[in-house]
Amino acid sequence: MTRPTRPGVLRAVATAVIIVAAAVLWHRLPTPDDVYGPFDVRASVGQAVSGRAITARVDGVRIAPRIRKDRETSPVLDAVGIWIVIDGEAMTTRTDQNLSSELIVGPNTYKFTGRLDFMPLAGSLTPGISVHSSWVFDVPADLVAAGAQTITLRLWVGDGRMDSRLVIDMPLDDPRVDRTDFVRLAPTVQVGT
Amino acid sequence: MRLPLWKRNVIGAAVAAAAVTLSVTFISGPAWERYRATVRPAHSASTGESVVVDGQSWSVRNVSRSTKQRSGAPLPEGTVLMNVLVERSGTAEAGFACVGYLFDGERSWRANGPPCGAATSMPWTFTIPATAEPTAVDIRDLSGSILLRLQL
Repeated sequence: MTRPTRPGVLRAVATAVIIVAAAVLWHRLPTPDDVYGPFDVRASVGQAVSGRAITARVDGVRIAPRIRKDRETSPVLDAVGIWIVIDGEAMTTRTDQNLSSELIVGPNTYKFTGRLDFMPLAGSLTPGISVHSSWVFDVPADLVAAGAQTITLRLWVGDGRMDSRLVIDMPLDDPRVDRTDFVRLAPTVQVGT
Repeated sequence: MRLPLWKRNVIGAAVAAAAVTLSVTFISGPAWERYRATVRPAHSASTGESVVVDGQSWSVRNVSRSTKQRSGAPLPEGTVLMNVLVERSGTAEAGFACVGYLFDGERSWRANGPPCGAATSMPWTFTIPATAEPTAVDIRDLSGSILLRLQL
């Protein structure tokens, strides 16, 4: 058996260090979802927030078991759980694109309700023309019982990959959160900017 | 027989270079070109001129702004309706699905109504902010590629 030479030992140590470093790096890699994931831009109620292709602002939140659209002939709809109506405005800044939204309440994520037919903030937005309307979600009532929990609205355009996503936190003990018996949605207002 | 180290390195480098070339040629290159086509028009025409693409001549005939919709209903505050009449030569059969966009150098607005097709005369309307100054109209295919840009 030959004695290990000095360069031989150095080479072995260097190899071991590189393999350990590679293993550590491998275990710290982001998941594929994070690699292609959106870039969150955070804001709170009343604060205008801008991403790469979209701007938005939440003015207030109304929580009620019953809802009606602005027309007198529209039916009154009872929520399966309770309605969360987020009043605000949104606009794209580059081109016409469909706005996607979701609401995070406790451990769950909710989609915009499909029971109100057409809602402009679930449709296509136009650059330079701001749409004032509401995002409406039907969520279990016990998840938004009176308390200090925070609900979060996420807004994005396109498929959301590697693009900004607006994340608006709304603490339910904020004075701009209104709990009522009935919500009547205001007519949509569009304003050129 | 074992090759000397430098020859093995040259072979490795050549194989790696070939792999990179294949990947760029057949995977990332076409994807990059598809993206570029959504940003840079394939053909363009300056103000008042027409451009011939695939044997069809395209031009802008008329541009106007109005403050009321065709039904007479008022437009949202701070917006105007921009009317652009685009015409192409050729038969109805030669038409293809496309979408008109107004372009102001930064932003673009999609034409109201359904995509174009067989029609050779396309009276497009666009609802835009009153402060916007569009400089061109783009004709895109349904994948978003800009086929041609006609300066207004």
